[in-house]
Formats: sequence, structure tokens, C-alpha cells
Amino acid sequence: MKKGIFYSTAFALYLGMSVSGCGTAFSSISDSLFKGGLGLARANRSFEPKQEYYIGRSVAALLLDKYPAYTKEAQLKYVNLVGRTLANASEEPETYAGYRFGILDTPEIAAYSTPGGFVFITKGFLQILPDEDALAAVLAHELGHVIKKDGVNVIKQNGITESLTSIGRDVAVSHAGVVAQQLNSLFGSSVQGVFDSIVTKGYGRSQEYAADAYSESLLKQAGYNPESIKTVLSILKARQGTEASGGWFSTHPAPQDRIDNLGAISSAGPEVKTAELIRQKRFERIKW
Amino acid sequence: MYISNTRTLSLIVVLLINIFSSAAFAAEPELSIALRSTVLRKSPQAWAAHVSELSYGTSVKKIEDAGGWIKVSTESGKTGYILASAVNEKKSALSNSMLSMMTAPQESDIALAGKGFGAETEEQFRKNTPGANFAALDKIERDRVSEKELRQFAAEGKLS
Repeated sequence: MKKGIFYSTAFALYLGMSVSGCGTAFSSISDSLFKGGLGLARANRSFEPKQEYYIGRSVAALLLDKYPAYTKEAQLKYVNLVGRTLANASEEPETYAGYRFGILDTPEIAAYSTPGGFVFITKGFLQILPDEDALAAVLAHELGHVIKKDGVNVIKQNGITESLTSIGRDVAVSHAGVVAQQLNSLFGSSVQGVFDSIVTKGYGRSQEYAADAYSESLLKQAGYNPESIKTVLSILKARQGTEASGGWFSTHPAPQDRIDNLGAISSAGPEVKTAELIRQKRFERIKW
Repeated sequence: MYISNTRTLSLIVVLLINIFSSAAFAAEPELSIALRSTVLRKSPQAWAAHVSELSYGTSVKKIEDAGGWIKVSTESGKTGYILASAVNEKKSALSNSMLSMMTAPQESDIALAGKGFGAETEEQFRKNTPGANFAALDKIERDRVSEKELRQFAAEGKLS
């Protein structure tokens, strides 16, 4: 009996020490049970890069069902060069399978991005942009959504991460067969939720303002003219009301509100402006 | 009495080993590559020379932080720099052994749950959503820009 009490005490002591002295040990166990078991390994990452990639791929495949892909090689390569240059200057230069930039063959004015680093711009948008720096501003806005995990946060807001946690518990108590079905169902819900947000609902004003601010800072970081994001918003403002509904006009705040929210942007120096002209020439060589 | 003392001593030793080993794991977490592939570079810069390419799941040990990059060594003895965001922390052996003691899931469940959202869930999604255009996506996903071309493009446009 005494021995039993001793062992109980010793085990309790062990757990207590694990929790207090070696927090990693106990938190790793709970993390494995409720998060890590599904690959949700890092506390600051709801999904590992690989999982973001697979979610993003399926969202992108839905987007390419809604809009046909523009397939001219030189144009695709140019957009990828601009986008990858921006990504290299960001705090997350690599995603699981790398950033990829596509063009959607539609006259609508819009740009989209999905988790994992798939970014799309429409041909209609490309045709109204004046130069490479303006293109970079649009792509940098979309990279802001990717890097700030706005798509992944939609999945969190929809309560899907809690459901994944619940499946994690099922795994722990061994509910064979149920897990795969639930996982597939949650994957479909996650993909549809992100798709609805980017195409019909929009992310919300605060995320869009944050993506505009991110665009300004990333442009500057990469060597582009940070004022270009305002140039793009002014172009959109001029076209507001003349365009059919859809695209950025229906999912983003009014261009003037976005301009106001950005506030003053310090003017680019003469060196940047000179380089901007060099970039404009190579932009003009591309016919969309 | 002697047996009881021996058992007690053994238990304490086992507990202490576990506690200290977990502390060691906490101090130096083992890392694994979280991206499909990433370049191990000679210095912590985007255009630095390649040491080798590391694929998803490769184990690396952190030597030191280097401002957004980390210096690591591989099991094959190569040393270099990778982006700090390119790795996941591996779970410690202790937590894995404790997990297996506390639970008894079936092997297939563990395998699936460990993978989470991935190729298997995409496959099911494709079956359920025939309109989803993965063929067009695969063409967009093809890598059409080399590191050399990127470097040249940035230099010509006076970009960083």
C-alpha cells in the first residue's frame, strides 16, 4: 500500500516536473495529441507549409475552373520574374513548392492569391496597368495576403482547425476509418471557404488595407517605387462605376478609401524614378 | 527491503534520465526541412553559392541564427545556411514514446493523421470536384524562371 502511494506520488511528481520544469515535454504531448498528430506541428503555424500548399493548389484549381488560364509563355515568364523578385525581397521568400504567378484570361479587373503562394492576375487588369512598378504593386498586395496567412485565417474563422483538433482526439482514442472521411470532408470545406472568400466575399476591409500597406513596404524593399500602389488605386478609382460588377470592385473597399487609408507615401528618390523608366520599357515590350 | 530500494532507485534514475533528456531536446530541437526542397547556401544571402539541395523531411541541426537565416549541418556532414522559415521542429523521442504509451491508434490512422491535408486529400477532392482544373494549374506550376534569370532580371531593373 505504501509502495503504491509512493509510485503514485512519483508519477505525479514526474508529470508535475514535466509540466513545470520541462514544459516542452508536456506541451509536445498535448501538441501531438491535439495538433501535431495532424501535422499541425508548430505553435505559430496552424498548417505546415506542405498543407498550405495542398489547400492552395485546390483553391487555385477551382479558380481555373471559373476563369480560363492565359497560356502565352513570354508573358507568363515576365509576370513570374516580377513576382519572384518581390517574393525574394519579402520575409518569406520560399513556400513549400515556390511562388507561382498565373494569368487569368478574362477582361475582369482582379487579382487573387491562395495559400502556399499561387498568385493570379487577370488579363483585364494587366491591360490597364501603365508600367512594371504598377504590376509589382498588384502582385505585392497579393503576396501580402499569402504571407499574412489571410486564406489560412479564413479556415480558422470557419472553425475548421477546431474540427481538425477534434479529429486529432479521435486519432488518439483510435476511431479507425472515421478519420480519413472527416479529413477529406474538412479539406473540401477548407478549400471552398477560401475560394468563397477570395472570389465572392472578399477578406474584409482590415485585411485589404493591411495588404495595401504591405504592398507599399515590399515595393520599397525590392527597389520598386512604393508610390505605385497609389497609382494602381487611382486607376481603379477612375474606372469605378464604368466596370461591370465583379473582380476587385466587388470584393475590396472603395479605391478612395484605400488611398485614404494608405496616407502619405514618401516620394521615391531620383535613382528609383530613373530605374522605373528602364523597367517601364521592358513592360511595354510585353503585349497582353 | 533491498528489492524495494533497488526498484525505487531505478525509478528515480529513469525519471531523471527522462527529465534531463527532454531538457536537452528543448535546448537543441532537431529540425527537418518543411519545403519540397530548399538550397543549402555557403552564406546567408539569396544569391549565395549552393552547397547542396535539401529535400522535404531531411534532418538538420541548427548551429546558429543568422538574421532570417540559420546555419545548419546535415547528417552527411555538410554545413551551410538555409532560410529560417524553411524548417519544422521535429517532435522529440520522449514525446513520441509518451504518446504511444497514452494512445493506441491504428497504424493507418496514424499515417493519415500524420500527413494531414496532402496528396491523399487532394486526390479525393479531385474525385468529388471534377470541374477543378488541375491540368491548367500544373502548367502554371511548372518552374519557368531560373535563379540566374531572376538575378539578371533584378540587376537590369536595378532591383534588390
